[in-house]
Amino acid sequence: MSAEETVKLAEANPTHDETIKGVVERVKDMVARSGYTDGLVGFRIFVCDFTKLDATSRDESFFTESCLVNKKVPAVIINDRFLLELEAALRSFEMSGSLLGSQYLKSDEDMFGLVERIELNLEGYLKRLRKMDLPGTDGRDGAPGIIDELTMAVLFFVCHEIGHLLTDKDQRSYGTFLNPNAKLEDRITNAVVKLCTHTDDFVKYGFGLPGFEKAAQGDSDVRRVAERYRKMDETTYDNDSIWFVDEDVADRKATELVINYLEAISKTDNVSADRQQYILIKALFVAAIYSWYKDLHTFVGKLDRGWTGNASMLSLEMMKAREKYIHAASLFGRDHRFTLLRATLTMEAILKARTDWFNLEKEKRTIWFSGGSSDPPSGQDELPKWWLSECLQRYWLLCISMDTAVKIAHMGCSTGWIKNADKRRGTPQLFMMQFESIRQAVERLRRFA
Amino acid sequence: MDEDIIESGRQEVNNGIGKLKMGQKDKASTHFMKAMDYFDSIDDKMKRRDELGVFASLLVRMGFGDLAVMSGGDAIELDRALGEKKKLVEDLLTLGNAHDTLGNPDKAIENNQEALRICLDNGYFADAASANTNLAGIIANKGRMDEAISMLRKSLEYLKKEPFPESEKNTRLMLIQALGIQKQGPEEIIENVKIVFRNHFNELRRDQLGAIMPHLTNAVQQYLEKHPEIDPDSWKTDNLPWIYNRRR
Repeated sequence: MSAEETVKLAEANPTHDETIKGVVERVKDMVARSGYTDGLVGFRIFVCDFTKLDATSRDESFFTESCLVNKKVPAVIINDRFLLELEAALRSFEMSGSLLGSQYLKSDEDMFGLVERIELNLEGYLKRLRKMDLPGTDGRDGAPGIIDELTMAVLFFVCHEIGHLLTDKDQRSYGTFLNPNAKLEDRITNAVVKLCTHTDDFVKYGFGLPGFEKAAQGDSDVRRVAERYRKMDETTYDNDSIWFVDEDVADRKATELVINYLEAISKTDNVSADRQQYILIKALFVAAIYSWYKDLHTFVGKLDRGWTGNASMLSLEMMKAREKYIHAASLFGRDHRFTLLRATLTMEAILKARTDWFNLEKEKRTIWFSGGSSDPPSGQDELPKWWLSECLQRYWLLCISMDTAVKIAHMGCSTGWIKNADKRRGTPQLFMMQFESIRQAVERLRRFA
Repeated sequence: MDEDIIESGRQEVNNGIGKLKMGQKDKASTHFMKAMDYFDSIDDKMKRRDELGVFASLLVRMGFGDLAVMSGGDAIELDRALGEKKKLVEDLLTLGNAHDTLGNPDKAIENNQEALRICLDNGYFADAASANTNLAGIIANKGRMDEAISMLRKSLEYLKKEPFPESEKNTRLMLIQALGIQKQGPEEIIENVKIVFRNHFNELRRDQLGAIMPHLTNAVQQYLEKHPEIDPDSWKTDNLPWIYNRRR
């Protein structure tokens, strides 16, 4: 599709949602003032409603489930449904003024319930949420509006795409979601190679799995099996690796751009910069945790149509057959880093750039505001400290919540070797991986100093 | 037409309760959303608020604070539009409880304070006690224990004007704990325990008993130390036979 055709199609399919339009206009303004796209002549941002798009126009240079970069125009194209879902998730989390009071962190079923309700009737649910007076968004001091949160999230996504443009990449998207209509991965070779890539990525950033160290050791029996699979289609897997690196580069660029944005604000108003940092991390937290649970919900629904439940049920389901771990490779991107890991790395980079928390001695570190209360302080001058504690709680909760994905990746990476061992033994060995619920993750967070 | 809609909504509520009993809270919530959509489409405002109000109260009890805020919020709008003060109070109390479960103490305080004001202006003393006790609970969780104790004593005064056994039980249970934490008035603790046990012993849940027993034990010990002239065993069996005279 030519640049002209892309622009024509985008202009013919604009979003009709006034809230989303308003948010994207703000982001366009922020990007324009930042100078990030000064070298990209004719840069545009489009937010489109794809619901009426015919099949022939669903070209991979134009259609996306999230955000997409188009080098020819150059443009970032955003699917408005992606933003509407995110807005619904953000508003839902804002029904609680504190992170740990959130309904959706009480249990996996509560999170899955939110996913189901949004999927069942996005428009109706969002309409209902939009007319509510949300505790965290009434404009009181320190309480950002939803529009602020959505704006910062969209800014980050757009910066990721700008990152692709600045490194001369085309047709790359922010992320992909598990397609409920597509078949789950069933090729052991693909699953093992993909999950070993993700295992390496997890381990690189400190998310290893005790007892499964061999899954990350290049010279282990586990990895020799994975390497044999890799060689069966080396070109494809090498391309995947290149794309994985490209996505990492774009994420780093996005992080750099948002840090620059925050630093620019802090030159004249440090408190505002801290507030924007808090808003961004709040939004990234919801985007990541909602996206993960949405994919997990789709995955478990495809494993067993009647299944519903929680981490314990997942443990039992995954124990039934080795193939479940092959199917679970569908939860991970071919070229995108795992969603929670992306979010934590971004948060960590922002917090390290703008605070000295990670440099403090361990005994002096705390993620809690004074007295362990999660209520905002009454004094204005204490707000930055409270915002930081809220950011840190979200960062660490995502780190803890990585547990399920880390286990699936390590186990999946090892599946080739495990199946060979089953064959040699003549019978499969029962193995059960215990997954942690969101409630358990929150309990672990509460025990943090 | 409204009757059909109400019937459909209630059916969805029942479907949701069925799923909840099977441990499928996620599926239950989608049925409850469908129920809410039905109730929202009831034409008659009074019927609409009746369904939404009751539904909100049910949702809080079943652990769906978020949905309760949605349903309760709509009910309150209708109460105000219809000038239904008593129902407004009920719905404010429900909304306050919902916000409390969602970790929104300021919102919970706001709802309960408004309810209290309306109650005192209109002589709804039983509901005033409920609102005041709810407020005391929130204040106590913020560490303002002495203030909470005063409020709980005030609730008991309201209940003298208009009894409400459930509210009285809850108020006394909270007062016992607050006094115990503050290490105050063993006599007052013992007196309140006696009243609760006399009127509600068989209804008390294990967690409620568990919450007050340590404070009762301490209070009894302190009381007996202050009164060495009393025979402890006789005093215990005479005053607290539910605890000290249980047949095994």
